[in-house]
Amino acid sequence: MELSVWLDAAAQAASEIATGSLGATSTTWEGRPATTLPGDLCGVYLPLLSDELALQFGFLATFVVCAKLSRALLGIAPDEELESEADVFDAVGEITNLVAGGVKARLVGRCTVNLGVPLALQGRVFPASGSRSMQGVIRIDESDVWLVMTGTPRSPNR
Amino acid sequence: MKILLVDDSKAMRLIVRRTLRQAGFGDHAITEVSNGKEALDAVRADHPDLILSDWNMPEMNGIEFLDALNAEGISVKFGFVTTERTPEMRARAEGAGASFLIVKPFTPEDFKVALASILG
Repeated sequence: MELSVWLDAAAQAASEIATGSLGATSTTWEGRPATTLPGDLCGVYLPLLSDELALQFGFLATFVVCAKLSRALLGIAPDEELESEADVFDAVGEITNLVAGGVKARLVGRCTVNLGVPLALQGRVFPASGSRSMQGVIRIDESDVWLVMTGTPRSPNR
Repeated sequence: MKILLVDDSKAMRLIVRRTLRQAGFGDHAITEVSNGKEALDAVRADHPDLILSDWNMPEMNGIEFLDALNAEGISVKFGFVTTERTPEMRARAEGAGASFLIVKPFTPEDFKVALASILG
């Protein structure tokens, strides 16, 4: 299955979570820009293991946007501070988990998907050789979030 | 009643606590742990009446935790609160003895429906 199918499923799931759990009023899928990922992003990668591919799904944004989305998830007022950076990444991890669950639900009947445990990061990740990567931007209200799908083919002899 | 909440995300534990309150179940004693291994120790020590567990967690995931409870012959009401919502996962949970599966994202109504017969 093409990486673009996974990314499109992630965009749909992210839109659903944004307007539901995060209370966003609008989302726009900006699609796949020709530019590379900005270097100042942070967020969470979560493994998605399918029959054919070992995928890493990334949900990335600036720290300011990550904090804003975390406050939305937790129902914390915009002028209230979160306890710590770790709390922001924990909440973004849960948002990523919700989106990944939506991806899995959208691909039922097409492939089997197992979800892994999220890993938070700051900075840029470079796919290793043999990996393919695709990314796109979803605008959640006024905030840009980068959705990344990086896939490595699984060995038939696994 | 004593409720054990098992989730590796502090954010999600906070949200589940809040949703329990909104669903009218805020009077129960709630304790929290962050994976199945810690939960198994908590069950042995505190004997909760109800367990609400995530599925995907480090150390020991939710279904491994439920299998471990079964292996030890520990009988306790158990429900999953998880993003896992495929028919296969639901069947796996029911097969292991889970009473219900609440899918994230959830609403207070989802908790009312799932827990009414257990918590009253």
